[in-house]
Amino acid sequence: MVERRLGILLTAVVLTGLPAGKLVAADAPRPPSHVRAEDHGWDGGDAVDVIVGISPDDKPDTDPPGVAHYVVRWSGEYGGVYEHAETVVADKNAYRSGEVRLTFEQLEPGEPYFFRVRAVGPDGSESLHVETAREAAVRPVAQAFSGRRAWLVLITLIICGSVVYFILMARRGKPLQIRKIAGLEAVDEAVGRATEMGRPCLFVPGILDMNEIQTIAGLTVLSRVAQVAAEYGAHIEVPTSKSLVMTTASETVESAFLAAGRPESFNEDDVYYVTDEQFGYVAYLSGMMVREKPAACFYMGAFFAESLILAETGNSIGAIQVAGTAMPSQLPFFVAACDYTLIGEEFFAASAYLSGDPDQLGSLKGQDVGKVIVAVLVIVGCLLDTLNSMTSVEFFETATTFLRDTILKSG
Amino acid sequence: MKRTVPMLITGISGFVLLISFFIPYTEGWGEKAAIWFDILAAIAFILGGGNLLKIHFKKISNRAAGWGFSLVTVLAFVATLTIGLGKVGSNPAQQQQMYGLALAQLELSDLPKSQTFSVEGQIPAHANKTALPFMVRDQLTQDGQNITFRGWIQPGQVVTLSGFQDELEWLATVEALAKAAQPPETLRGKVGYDAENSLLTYQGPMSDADHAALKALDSSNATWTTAVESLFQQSRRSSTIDFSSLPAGFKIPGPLQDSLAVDRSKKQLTMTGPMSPGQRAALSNQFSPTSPLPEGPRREAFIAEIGKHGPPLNTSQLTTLNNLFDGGWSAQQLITTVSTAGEPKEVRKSARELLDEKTAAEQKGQVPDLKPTRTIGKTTRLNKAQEDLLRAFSENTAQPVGELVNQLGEAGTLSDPQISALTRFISQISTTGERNRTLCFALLANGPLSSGQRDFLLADVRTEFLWDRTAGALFVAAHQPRFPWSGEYREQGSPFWWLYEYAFKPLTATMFAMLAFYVASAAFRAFRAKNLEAILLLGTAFIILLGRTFAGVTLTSWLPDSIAGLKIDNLTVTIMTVFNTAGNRAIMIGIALGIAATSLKVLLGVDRSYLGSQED
Repeated sequence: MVERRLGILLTAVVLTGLPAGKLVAADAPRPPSHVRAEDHGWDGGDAVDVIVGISPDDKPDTDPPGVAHYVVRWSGEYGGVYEHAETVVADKNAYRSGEVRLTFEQLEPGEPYFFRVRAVGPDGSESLHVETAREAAVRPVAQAFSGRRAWLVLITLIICGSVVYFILMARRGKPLQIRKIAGLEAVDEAVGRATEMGRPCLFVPGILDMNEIQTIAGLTVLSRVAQVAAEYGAHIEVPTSKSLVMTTASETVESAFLAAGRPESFNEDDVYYVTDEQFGYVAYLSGMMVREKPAACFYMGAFFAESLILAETGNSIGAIQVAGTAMPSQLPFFVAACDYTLIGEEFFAASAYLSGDPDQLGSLKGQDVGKVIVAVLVIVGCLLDTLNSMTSVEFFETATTFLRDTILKSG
Repeated sequence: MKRTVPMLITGISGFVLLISFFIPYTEGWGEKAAIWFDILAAIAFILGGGNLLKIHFKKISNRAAGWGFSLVTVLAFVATLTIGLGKVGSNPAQQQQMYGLALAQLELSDLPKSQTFSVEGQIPAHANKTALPFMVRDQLTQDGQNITFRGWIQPGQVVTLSGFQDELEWLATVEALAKAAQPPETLRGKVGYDAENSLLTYQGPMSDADHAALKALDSSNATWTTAVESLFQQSRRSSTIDFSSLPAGFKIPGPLQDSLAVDRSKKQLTMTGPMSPGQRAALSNQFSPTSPLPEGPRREAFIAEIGKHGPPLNTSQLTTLNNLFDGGWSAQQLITTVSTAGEPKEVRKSARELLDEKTAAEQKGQVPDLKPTRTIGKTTRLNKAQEDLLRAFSENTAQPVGELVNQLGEAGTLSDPQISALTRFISQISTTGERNRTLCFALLANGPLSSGQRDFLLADVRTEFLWDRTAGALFVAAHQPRFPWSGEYREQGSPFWWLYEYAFKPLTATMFAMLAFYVASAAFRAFRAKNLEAILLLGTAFIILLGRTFAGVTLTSWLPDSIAGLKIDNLTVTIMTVFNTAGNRAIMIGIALGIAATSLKVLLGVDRSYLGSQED
């Protein structure tokens, strides 16, 4: 026993380079073999990795275990007060590699960190500590790129790259086909009907602001609707629930009238602000629909609970209704109550479809590459997960975990 | 140009947000872009308000159809705006107030030069160039090898400075600074300076001696003298309120001895200077804590007393009453609490102590292994006589705590932590009124009580409530408010809150409630079995609908476990988690790709139709 204690002391002296400050209990396990700390790579400079070499007394499948766990303490200065940071138990990977790896996050970038680790026996007795040396202070450093998002950036680059590639292809004159979208074909019909009936067209750009992509997509459709209305001489009204949307929509409609060669027909009072309040906006729209009975109603943007109230009111007054949204929970309501509904990606394709511009049509082709990637990932994921659950081959487990936790949760 | 500029702004903002997502160094850029959007949206809100007024005024002036509604809209808009912006009826924000303090405006530069303190040390430089915390930035400077602090350091500033860096040397410097940067001995604990708000503060009514001592700090500075005079006036300001009756055996509590006066003939309370929350609590706390009623004659007598005021309690009420009294405090709990407080305690060492230990270890060539805490005090046990005194107190809680402490001290050793524990324990015991109120509602939940019984049980709490309200009124009257407009515009009870709660919310709820009827009519149309797809839809909807009802679950509950998957509730779960989720995900994937492509088109300027036209 005396020899063992001497061994412990000598180990501590060798590891720390300095004599240990105190003796430990006779039954305490031997300290971890080493500890080192290094900056966590490819991050925002707020994390460090600490690698603890497991104690010689820490053996798998021993009862009682030689080491119950390791206590990691840290300090901002060498030899200062080391506060408790983490308690960690060696797992099978640690036994295989001989090291336990921990990552500490939310640290101050550039500040020094020192660590001390002790092995703790089943009876709670602590070994001597091993520590990171005075000159081995680790400082979290910010890197140029967040490694956690590497897969996301790769997928983004592939999808965006293919969109750009097909836009370029389209510019070079490559013919592009796009299937007919009934909802968009119906725009002309709906506006024409409103013109014949001498009633207005109502365009609702959703209830979110200009920082919502659905609102922007809605306004691209408004551009086309307003142009057709201007050509037909129909009256179009655009009540909005956000001030920024009002100013943008006003600009859109004015330009559309100009493009149609009817700038004098544009009335700035036709695009107006109602209220930011969801149901106040709905109350106004419902009342307005019942009173003025628009012949064509367009709902293009982000909608929530108001979707069905609007669509049902429009239905009750016999208007032709075309809706487009990317809110999956509201799609069934629009499908049930509107004549035509642009579902998700159709809504975003509307601008390209309506303009017929080859540049924009090329972007739709680029989206298809994204779909291929998704399909491949879905098939590979299903296969791996199935094989993983049917067999005990470690590769399938590792691959499934990598696909799910590293690739799909990247970002 | 008209379109190029917005397009450039859109493109740049978009790319900034994109880059900031992937490059940690630029994370702040994304946040700034989002802030700019908020600023823009806030400005645009004025445009929206202007547009609303313009449209409706036009309608009113043209007497267009529905102009009456426009008039109502405009009036409601103006009224809401006025009440909301004016914060009509809202009290100043509590977190902005400095309760119990008299205040006088004074710039940092006008503080007496003599009240500048220096200690040896260096302000640490952070690797990421973190600036000194805002609350000390103006007062703390590096002066050669010394750190200089202008004015008197506040406890919050000490905490903030300690958090600036955790090296022992810096923490020891902050400790030294906290000790040095204090007002003169006679004014300590009373006078203070809040540099963030440029306020000189004083707690309690200022005595003539303190007044003179403060003025003498810099009698040559007129601004300082004026501020001290103002502070003196504020701290001596009298606030008087009427009261209906004083609690039985009322005595002016210790913390209010110098500032509260009672005129029993006029039934008036007069407070000199502002009242602190502690003083308010002391004034309010004029009622003895309740005594425990263990099983026995005292409890029986109490039950009989309730019985005198009405019908006898039923079995359920008696059980509730017994449970409540059994769960109350006991003399043994008090004895245990005070005994436990007599054990030695672990306290954190000061930074100076730790630094000295570290230096000593290093000088000996050892690796410092600092233990941040040390044990203080020694075991102090209660003796038999002290325990008897605490038992006696539990039967006579009207005994003042100070008197009890004296008796305990005379009977044996009583340490300071034990006195604190005793005081804390007693302060947490509910009063008789509070206990009886709890009992009254518990008994009512288990059976009837006559009005006489209710009055008997609630009489004490009514008296306590009235006195507490009196104390509260005096607290408010004596308070010197800061930032009168700092309150929440939607504060409960304010006119805006009233409008919101009783006009706006019911109206919006009404609109929302209409959804139920619209769902029914839409479902009726959607589920008509016109073709195979519609029949499938109808069947699925039927299963889901049935599965969400109790009847549906009961209907198939008889199915054996081997085919449990066919039970309606299980079918519902399968349809929702498998088919519905799969369909939803397909739509979501399409949407995500659509968003990516649309965003890219907008950022690259390929799609400019949202700006009105593809032409520039």
